Amino acid sequence: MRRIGDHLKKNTQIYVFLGIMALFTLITPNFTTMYTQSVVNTVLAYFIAALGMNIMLGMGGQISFATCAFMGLGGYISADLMKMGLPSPLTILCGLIVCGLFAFLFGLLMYRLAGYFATFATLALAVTSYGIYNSFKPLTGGADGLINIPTLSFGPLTLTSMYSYFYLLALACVLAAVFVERLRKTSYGRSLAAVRDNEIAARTLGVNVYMTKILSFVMAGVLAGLAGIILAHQNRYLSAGTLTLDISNMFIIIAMLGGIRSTFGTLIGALIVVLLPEVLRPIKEYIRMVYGFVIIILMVFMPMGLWGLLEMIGKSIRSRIWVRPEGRESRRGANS
Amino acid sequence: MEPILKLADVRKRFGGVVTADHINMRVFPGEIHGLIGPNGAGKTTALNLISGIYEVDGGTICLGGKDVTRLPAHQRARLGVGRTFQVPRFLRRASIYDNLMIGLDLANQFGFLRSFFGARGDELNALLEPLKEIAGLSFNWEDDIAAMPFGQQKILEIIRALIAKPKVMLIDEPAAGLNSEEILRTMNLIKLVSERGIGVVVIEHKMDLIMNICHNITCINFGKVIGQGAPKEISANPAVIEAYLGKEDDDA
Repeated sequence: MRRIGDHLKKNTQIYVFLGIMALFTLITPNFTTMYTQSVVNTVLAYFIAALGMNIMLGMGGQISFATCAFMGLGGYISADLMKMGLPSPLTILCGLIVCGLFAFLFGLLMYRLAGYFATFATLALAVTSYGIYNSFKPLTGGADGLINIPTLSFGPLTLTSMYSYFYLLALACVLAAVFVERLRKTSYGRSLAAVRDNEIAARTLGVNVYMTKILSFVMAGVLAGLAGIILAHQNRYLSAGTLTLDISNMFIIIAMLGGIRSTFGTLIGALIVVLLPEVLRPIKEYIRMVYGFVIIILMVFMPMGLWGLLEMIGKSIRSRIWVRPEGRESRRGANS
Repeated sequence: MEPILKLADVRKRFGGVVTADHINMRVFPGEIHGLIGPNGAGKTTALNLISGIYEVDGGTICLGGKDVTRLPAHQRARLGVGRTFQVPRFLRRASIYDNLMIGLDLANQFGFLRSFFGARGDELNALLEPLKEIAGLSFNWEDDIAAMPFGQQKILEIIRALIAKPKVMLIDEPAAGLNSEEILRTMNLIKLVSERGIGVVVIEHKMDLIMNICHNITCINFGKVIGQGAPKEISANPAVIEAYLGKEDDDA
């Protein structure tokens, strides 16, 4: 029993997350209109891509502006292959592999640059990829975008509506979240933390800094690719206009707002960032200004995001309730 | 016996400043080897060259008979070069548990997949138990490392290096900034490290400590070795006295 208790305590976040996802999955499709459902789906897809930022930024301290490039890469590859008649599972797999491979090769080059210069390389990638997506007609449909993308189907199961895509996205979210949550507790997760906090210490502790960074970029790329693939097939349409640098920025905002070190926080972040424009429709033109201010305020007042804030509040409440009188006594004793 | 660490003719210069000038040094398993010299003599540079943070300009560094001169720092660490720093280098935003686990990760070398599917290796608690008493440490696993007192951090860094099961441990000024009780505990810990058959290279300015615990001492000045031998020989070596210990008649 005790071991189960310990297990629950250690993995609170993931169980809260799974519980909410289960509730979400049961309730949402029965009570939403098509439009609301598409918004919810967007939240989930963005959550998956933002988890990549959670790995890179939260665990590894690396910023990437290239999320949109990988969403596009995955989306176009899978869409084009499926148009050629390949079955969905294979096209998805191909999309993910190409994303991972490209991230690896680009990472090999990019992380030869020191510190922030690598970040600039991701910026360049985001801008360049937009240019390519917007003009390379045979693969991307050019400025008109890629239309008539076939919908995904797995054997007898064909995803026909927003609702069926919702289930696919929910499944993908759970898998991605469990993966990320597990990653935190592996030696690789600690290597990333070492790279983030102290590169020299990392090197003397046997961490291959270069490869660790590249691998985090690969993971972020694959997660972004997954989100891109599902969205492309869901919308039956993919255009470069939805793959701009703006979108990449949004994933960084999602991760930072929710909490760069929290899986559940990232979901909160995705919810807020996707829903905010819906709520703030009257001032739509200024939404980026709002984001800008939010980022500044976040960095100054709560660098660990909303989840970090909740944790802090929780900690202080717990310490008020749980510290026993003798605990206080001994603490005082140690100081004197 | 074969030396566990051997520096032969190691050279390094930064622009016009020579920080390692044909350094020769041998450290045997279980030996505590002191590295002394005036400020700026190139002591920390020597440790950085051994651990691979700097690349040498010339000469060879051998670890247990294997030439590691051209290997990057992380590979040397995996082969058994442990290291602590003058100001402890920790994962500032991680818990104490993670900070120590990363030492165990280095000992385990599980690789990504095995670690992902739950390979654990030795129990950290069992490894720590005999050390905690000697080191006089008390902490909670989930505490932030930054909240720990400086002296405890320095001791904890040695423990982290020890958990990684190194063959050679490089310890940079373990006593700097510590109170007398912590210094005593640190010295006991260093002795324990050497009793486990690990070759220790320790930089320290407090001469009584060095003379006390070291089996051998190398004194360097301007990157050059000016004296090498047992503590007694070193304290009688005129070149060392001239450069570092101070002349007898200075006081007169």
